[in-house]
Amino acid sequence: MESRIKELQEKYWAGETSLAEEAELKAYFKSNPSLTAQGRYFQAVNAKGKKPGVTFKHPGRTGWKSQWSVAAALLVGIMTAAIVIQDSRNGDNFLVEDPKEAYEITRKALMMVSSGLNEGKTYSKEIGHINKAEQIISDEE
Amino acid sequence: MKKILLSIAIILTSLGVFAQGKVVTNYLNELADNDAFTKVSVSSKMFSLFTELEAGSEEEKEFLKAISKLKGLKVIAADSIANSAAMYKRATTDVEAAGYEELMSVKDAEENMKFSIKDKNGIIEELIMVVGGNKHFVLLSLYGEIDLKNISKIARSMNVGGLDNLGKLDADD
Repeated sequence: MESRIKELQEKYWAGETSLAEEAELKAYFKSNPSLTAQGRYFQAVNAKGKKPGVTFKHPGRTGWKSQWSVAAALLVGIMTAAIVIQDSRNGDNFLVEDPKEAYEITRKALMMVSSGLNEGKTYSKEIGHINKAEQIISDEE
Repeated sequence: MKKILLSIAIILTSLGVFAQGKVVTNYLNELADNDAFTKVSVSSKMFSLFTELEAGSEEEKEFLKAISKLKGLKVIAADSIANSAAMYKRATTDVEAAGYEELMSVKDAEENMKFSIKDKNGIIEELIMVVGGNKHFVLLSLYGEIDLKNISKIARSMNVGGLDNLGKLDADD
């Protein structure tokens, strides 16, 4: 049968087939669709549940990355809130707003610290003990 | 992800800055309504303003040099409280418990004074001074980058020998 069809196909491509022979070819391929290119395509489509064999994947973030991002964003939010709360309790009720006043206060405070450091140095000499402050100051000098 | 990690790092650094002066801040909050104590806080913004000042005298030069890298100052002071010795004891205990290292302490019949620091890589980031006794009490925190040498020079350049300004921090002085 197949040699007969092959023979008819050769005659068909050579343009030598009769109408009866062409009808015979047509009937053969109609009853055996898997033998044609078109037939093979539709067979493949049907075999995959009428869906093309390509699937599309979302190019975005994968699940675990997304979860980490949410956790990190929450952490950032909590820390920011902590800073705001801490800032509100940061002794800022006593902030000196006037620069001149702030300068004078700073000058007096620094004078007090400076006097204290020097007094400590003198005291250390009196008791014959070198404290860390004196050591630091001496090292820098 | 890198951006988030960077944000966290920045926030942690900020928390570190806020953590400075925390001991004094606790006392500021606690004594907020107690009029026996003078309470002041000088912000880093104010210190940055000071750096723009031009020194007129040698003393001012020394002073501006000493405060050039400071970021803040908080002071609580009282000059007529009955429990000054107890306050001193409590404050020094709290400072020690907060992890500050003792720099030096001076004790005499009338008053006690203690300096404590927090340093990082050899740089003093906070200095706490506590003075108590003879009805005086001072709790002071200086933070930023502290240069003890420059600070100790201030009093020397002005020939001040003792705690002359103790308890006189009121802005009206």
